[in-house]
Amino acid sequence: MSFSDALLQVIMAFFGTMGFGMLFRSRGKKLLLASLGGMAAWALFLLLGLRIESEPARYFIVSVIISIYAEVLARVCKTPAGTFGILSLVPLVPGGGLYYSADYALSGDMQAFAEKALSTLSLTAMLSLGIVLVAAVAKFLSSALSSRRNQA
Amino acid sequence: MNNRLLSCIMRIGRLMVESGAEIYRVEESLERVLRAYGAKEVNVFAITSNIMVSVECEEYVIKNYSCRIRSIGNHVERVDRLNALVRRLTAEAPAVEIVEAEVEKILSMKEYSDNEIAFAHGLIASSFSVFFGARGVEEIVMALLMGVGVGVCTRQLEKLRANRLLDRFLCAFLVTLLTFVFWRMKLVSSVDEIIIGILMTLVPGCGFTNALRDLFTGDSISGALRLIEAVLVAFAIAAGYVLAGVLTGGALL
Repeated sequence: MSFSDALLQVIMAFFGTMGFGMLFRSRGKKLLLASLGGMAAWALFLLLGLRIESEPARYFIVSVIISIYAEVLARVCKTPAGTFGILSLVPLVPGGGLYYSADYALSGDMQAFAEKALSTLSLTAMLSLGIVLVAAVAKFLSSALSSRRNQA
Repeated sequence: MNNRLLSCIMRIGRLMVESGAEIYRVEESLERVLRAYGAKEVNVFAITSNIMVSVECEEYVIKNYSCRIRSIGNHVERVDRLNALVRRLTAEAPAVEIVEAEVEKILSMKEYSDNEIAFAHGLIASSFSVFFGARGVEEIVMALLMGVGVGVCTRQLEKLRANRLLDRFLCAFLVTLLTFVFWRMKLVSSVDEIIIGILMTLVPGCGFTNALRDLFTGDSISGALRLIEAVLVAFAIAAGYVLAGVLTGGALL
């Protein structure tokens, strides 16, 4: 992929995330931060592609990094982290996967259909695994910190 | 704890589920708030379609409350506000009148208008069509217009309380049909990017992610319910696409 194509994709990731943010009734500063997160998510995904071949692995890494971004923002803005995390990962949602799965099913190519459907599913699983991992660690850390503070 | 307070607190829980909050958050919030108001023993069980609460207010005075939830949407700002309210209730336990007023305030906050929501659909559709490789002006404009159309369509069907699956099926069907027709008329030179872009507004991607998140955090029932819903929506979209494709002979050429 050429650099200008990549740049265009990253910019579109910003606007696409913003549209979804509006559908999720997010507003103002939070909408902007979520959109920036979406842009960063896709930029990271493309950058990691220079080093790592496997898409599921890249999905997982991006999901972890963006979830950390979401946790930090959530602490700063005092809102649930899910707000930012789910939205910022929208560019990674495999909508194309679903389309091509249906397309293969339509043309009767069952082998390609099964392959595409399975890869779509595994990408989604990687995405949520990253979100959950970060959420679990963040929860553990914050409860460990608060119990320590209570003891002191 | 009187019934008025309990009913008001349950309303908060219900609104949280309806606005798309995580299930564990709802259960935790309700438990904390009820304890803050002096409950001795609290048992909360929530799934995406029901909340059940049993509270021991005083020694051997036990109250039960359950509420059925029919529709779930995504309303991030509302979850935010409710979450802040829960924090406040846990810390200060204000009087019931104040809580009711706060809930009303959250419900009456400013919303996006129908036009803005329709525009958001268009924005998603056109951005993702470029994202997936559309470069021609006709394609992008087409995606924008049809995205707005889908936005208007889903909004009206929502108001008519149409079945969600039917809604997704119809939208996917019409979008695919129109795109193939325009393609036959040589108004656009490629179809894939336009359709993917518009389908992004319909695809239950966040539904899948939410479902798996609930599953991984141990709320298996909610996770399974959300997963089934997301799979059905995905099938509805695919069915709409396939039917239109067969009718126009789109992919068969």
